[in-house]
Amino acid sequence: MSTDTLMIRTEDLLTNPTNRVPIVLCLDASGSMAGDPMQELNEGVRLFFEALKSDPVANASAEVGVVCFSDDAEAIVDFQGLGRITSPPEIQCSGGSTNLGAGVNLALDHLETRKREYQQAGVDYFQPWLVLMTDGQPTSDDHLRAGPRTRRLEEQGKIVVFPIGIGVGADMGTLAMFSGKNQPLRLQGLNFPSFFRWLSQSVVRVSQSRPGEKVALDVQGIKGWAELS
Amino acid sequence: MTASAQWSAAAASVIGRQHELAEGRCEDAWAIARHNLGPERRVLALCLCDGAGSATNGWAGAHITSRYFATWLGANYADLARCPSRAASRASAILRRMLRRAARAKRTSIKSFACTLAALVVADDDRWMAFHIGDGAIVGRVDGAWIPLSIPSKGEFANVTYFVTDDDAPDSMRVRWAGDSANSGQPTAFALFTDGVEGSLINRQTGEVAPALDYVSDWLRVHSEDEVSAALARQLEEVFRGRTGDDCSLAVLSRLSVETYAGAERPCAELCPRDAAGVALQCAQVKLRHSRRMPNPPVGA
Repeated sequence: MSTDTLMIRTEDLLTNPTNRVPIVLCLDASGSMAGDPMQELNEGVRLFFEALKSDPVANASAEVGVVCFSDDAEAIVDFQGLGRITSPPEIQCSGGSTNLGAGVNLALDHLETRKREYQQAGVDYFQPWLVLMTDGQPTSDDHLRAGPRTRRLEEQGKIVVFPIGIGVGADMGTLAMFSGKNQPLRLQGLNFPSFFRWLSQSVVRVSQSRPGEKVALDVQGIKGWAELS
Repeated sequence: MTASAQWSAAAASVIGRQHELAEGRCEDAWAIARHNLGPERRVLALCLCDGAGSATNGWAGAHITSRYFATWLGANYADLARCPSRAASRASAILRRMLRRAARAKRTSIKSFACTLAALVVADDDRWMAFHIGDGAIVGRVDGAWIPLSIPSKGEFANVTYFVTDDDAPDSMRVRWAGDSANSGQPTAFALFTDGVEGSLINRQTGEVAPALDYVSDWLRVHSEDEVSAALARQLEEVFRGRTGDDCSLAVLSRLSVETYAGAERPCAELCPRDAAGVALQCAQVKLRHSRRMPNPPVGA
């Protein structure tokens, strides 16, 4: 008997949602970021969104939230599929202080909310990423609570943290409070584009990973944007 | 249902696009063991494994484990069925012993053979047992409807799952059997699949199973096991592979009437000599079919 008719039609299969990679950018928008730093940061963020959108897998799986902090913290982009973001966010410099802790706490709250939404919708997701960028020292004590909170999540394997200092004024000691696994790195000058290119490539690799696969960071690539001693 | 049923099985694996692009190999493997232990004592065992991408010998672990476990499962089914509550610990222990030997022989660690496992054994009296560690799934067709018998087991994150080599494998191994509290009704077909096709065949949230399995299980009623295995390989290649980057494996078992079965049976490809760990198996009563091991990737790949 012929087996030519033994065929499965696509209509008889199911489609599950793509696994998501939630990434939250927690960015300093304080007064000291005014001028070139903010311009370069915005250019980097634009490149980041563009790079993710240009990769078919990352485009379907990456979800980026953006939180800015100065006197207070504000979520300027909530987590959503990249397809729904028509233009990358424009981060405005508010001229205020550096409430780093408020920014991180808000970023973590948003991540928790998004994870609950994934769970309720039956969407699988990868370890969330927190990218923390600041050029100064915290001007409130909120970071004393946010730091241990972030580290606890990191120790439990529930988050990957990238603390990045911008310029010589960045308080690397404070940034180190947020991660026990990834030491804070200082950006080479205002080389935001190289950092965000590296970040997008790292997201692409994670979004393509399979169960049981550990994705190692491109350590060599870090040299392209970080000041390494 | 009479006690004179026969079961037919087919399986196939194809390499995923990501492994192909990286000039790697298919890390999924399957094996089907048919045990003829005497009149009215025929047992069919099927095992599907997915080697861990993070483990250096994950692909080898999948091959060794699927062949060994299918053979062991069939040979020990009667014993396991007598005390199903101990089956998980017995199966985990025997797998770890076998993999430890294999690791010693290769001078590597047992963890380097990490793989998931989905296995099913069914006897000609229609009694069955299913064993599952990690992702992938086992589903059964009861009264014409497909129901999940063992759903994918994952950690919180998408790239975390459980393996036969985990220290807590006895706790992670889920065992289901005919008549256990979680199951009612007698399946007339089963399907097992790895995570590469999981997204196409089972809804992770609702447990709904894709209608495609109706056709596939019915193929075995009119075509030989080899023909259906070939058709499965074609469909995995043409339909499933484009929907994932991962390796794709699908296995089906269907209940046949004795008359149908007699017409469909084909001699099995080879007898099982010794498993990779050097453990002697009772060859005379076992016919084993299994996935083909891919050649080593080019040097430097």
